[in-house]
Amino acid sequence: MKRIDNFVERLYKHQPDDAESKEALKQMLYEKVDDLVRDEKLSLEDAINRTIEDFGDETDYDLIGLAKEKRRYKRQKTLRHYRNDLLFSVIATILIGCIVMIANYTLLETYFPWLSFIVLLGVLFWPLSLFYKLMNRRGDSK
Amino acid sequence: MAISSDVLRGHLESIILTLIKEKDRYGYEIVNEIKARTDGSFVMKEATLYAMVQRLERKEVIDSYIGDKSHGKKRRYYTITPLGKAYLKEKQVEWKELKAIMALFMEGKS
Repeated sequence: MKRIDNFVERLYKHQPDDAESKEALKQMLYEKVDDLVRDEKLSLEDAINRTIEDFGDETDYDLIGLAKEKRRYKRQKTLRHYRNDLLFSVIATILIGCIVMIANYTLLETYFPWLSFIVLLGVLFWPLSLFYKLMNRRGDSK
Repeated sequence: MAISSDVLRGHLESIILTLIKEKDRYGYEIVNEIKARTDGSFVMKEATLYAMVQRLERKEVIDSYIGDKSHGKKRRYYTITPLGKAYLKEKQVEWKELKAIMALFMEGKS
């Protein structure tokens, strides 16, 4: 299997950082070698030869497309992460708002009539800043 | 007559997804299944297919897991995601439309 490893390493010479995809390809080639040995009763040597031969032209292996897809996938993940953050902050702000209002109207009214507004204004910056971040991220990679 | 993979390239995604939708399969099993079903009339470039499977995984239309050891070796199986099922459905509609359009010209229907 060392030859399969070398073959794949050479293929990824110019794309060395995509370890995940390298492993996936190695795995698929190992599986083919295994199947050839088991089902077609080839020797290990012949099975490896056939596997490399059948792989065909290296230019058909779309490394650039794979790298592009990886970037897109990562970006999607980051955006999803930011969106979750935003959602969480909005819900938390609403909850904090409600608590402050209730507290203000029931307990604190006589002492700090303006407290709820100050707290609300402060807390509001949380989702606002996250919203800003999300928008920035979106704009970045367009 | 053998159809070259360039013609079918745009549809290879749909072929792979259909096969994985039927049941979870590992990489070489997909290659083999295509060969068996087309009886050699579709000359597929394996390099293209291996890259395509990985792209589909990154598009999150398929997912993979390491399966149980069968005959001593573990295998990475690919399975379709809900997103993949929706995507495949879309592709099927697209294909029907394409087929109808091509039939208008290639089969002289009007």
